[in-house]
Amino acid sequence: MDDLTTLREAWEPVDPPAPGRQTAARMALLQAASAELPIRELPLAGQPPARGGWRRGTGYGALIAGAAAAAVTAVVLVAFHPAGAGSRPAARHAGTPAARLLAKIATAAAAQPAARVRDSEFEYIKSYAISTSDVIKGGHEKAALRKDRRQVWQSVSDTCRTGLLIDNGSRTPLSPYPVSATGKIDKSSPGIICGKGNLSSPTYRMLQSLPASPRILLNRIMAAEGAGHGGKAIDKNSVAFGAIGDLLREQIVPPRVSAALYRAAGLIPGVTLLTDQPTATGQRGIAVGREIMSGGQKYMHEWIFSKSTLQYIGERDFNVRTGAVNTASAILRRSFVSHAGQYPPASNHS
Amino acid sequence: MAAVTRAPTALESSDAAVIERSWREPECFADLFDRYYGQVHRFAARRLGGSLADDVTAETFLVAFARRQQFDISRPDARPWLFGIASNMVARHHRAEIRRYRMLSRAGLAEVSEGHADQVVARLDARALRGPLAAALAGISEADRDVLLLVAWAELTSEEAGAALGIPAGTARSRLHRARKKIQAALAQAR
Repeated sequence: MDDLTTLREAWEPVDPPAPGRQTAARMALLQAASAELPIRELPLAGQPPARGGWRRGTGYGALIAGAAAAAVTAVVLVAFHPAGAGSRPAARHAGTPAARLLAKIATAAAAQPAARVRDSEFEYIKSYAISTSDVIKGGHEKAALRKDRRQVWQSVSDTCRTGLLIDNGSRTPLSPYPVSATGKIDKSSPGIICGKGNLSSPTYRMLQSLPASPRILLNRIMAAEGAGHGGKAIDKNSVAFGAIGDLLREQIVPPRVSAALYRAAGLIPGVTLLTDQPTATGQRGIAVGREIMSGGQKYMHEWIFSKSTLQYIGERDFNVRTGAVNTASAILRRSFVSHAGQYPPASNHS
Repeated sequence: MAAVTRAPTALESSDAAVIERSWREPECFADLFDRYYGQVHRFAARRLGGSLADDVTAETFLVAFARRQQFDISRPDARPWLFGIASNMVARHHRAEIRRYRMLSRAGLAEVSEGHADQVVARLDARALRGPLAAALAGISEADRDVLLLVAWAELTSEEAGAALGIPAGTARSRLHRARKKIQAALAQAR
């Protein structure tokens, strides 16, 4: 029995609905259907609401976790089953070619000009991602390919400021608060912590406050991820590599901090260099990656960088045995804008 | 009224077809309620207990109904969409959820040492592991826990969980991986 099954069965039996509550809920739904309550969308960006898409879950914090060095780059996804999943690792141990490449990437990141950002601004990230799943659920395999054309606006300073996600044309306000049927954000909910965020839900301001020392930064990330779980059974190196990857994925990271993150990654054992890897759009770059075990399978998770600028251009995650890519992404645009829903000027690539 | 809590068979309309029909005939949305009320309630009840789950589930379907015009009908399965709304509703009760895990972690330890002592000697069954698992859940970040429980309890894939939460698939996979490591560590210690 794997951990997920144990977790599911440990909560059996589950409390059933109280008598009459299911019927009452159904009646309430039918009453709403007969009344056909008007739907009001949040006014965002002055654009007509698009149809389709998913509701946002728990919040802004949950939404993001990515960050990346600086500017822009495009990506688009290419082969979903790259034969052999790319080139062979060039190094098997930390501190070798991968660490040297990460040091160069860090130097390039640190050389980027630090943007002057106001607390009221939002960061805008446009990306393209593909994902598939090799998980079998309910007796059938979920192998459908999913393509996401994402545009995200998130506050640079406050996780409680309402952001915006446009995913394949579908607009969703991003807020840590529950969003009602009418689009109203219920800020009376208890337990919502506002502010600069934390390592799992960062803002630009929070990232600015991180230490510039790679070792101190790595220790903080490992402590945050391992705290309270006692440890030895947790592969902290694997978790730390994943946590840094989350910070590089869909966010803008201040140059000083992105340099520290790359150098911190160079301290993690098992990070390898891969010389020619495609992003989700097919742009090829140089990459660093690390194998992780998950669900009894070995996966390679890699970050891909432009060969010319050494800027982060995307990532991929593939099954080492089969070569099947689970997720791949490409960063198309990163910029600061004044409000959620505003697009950066076409010529602005910072 | 008997609830039907299963995905549609090949002979039934897809979720997307039901929702699309409900754009013109709102009452058709009750078909979706009948399919998934039980699943959504079980998900909410695991996280919050039965009483709050009653409220959260009812509210989930009302919100889903009001926002049905925004459902992407190119996606036949409505579960990620519904569970994303349910997760949003559960977040309103974040403190209650943590209190529940802490309570279960204490109750679970008592169960292990007393009522199920024989199973401790042989092989702890899943129920006996609830205490340590609840303690682990209380210690996992909210963001990671959301993904973990959408996969473990709502039985979504990590990609579907990402879509439900509005996060990139890579982030969902990373969060799931992190959370599972902690669950596995808790299980290893308990065993």
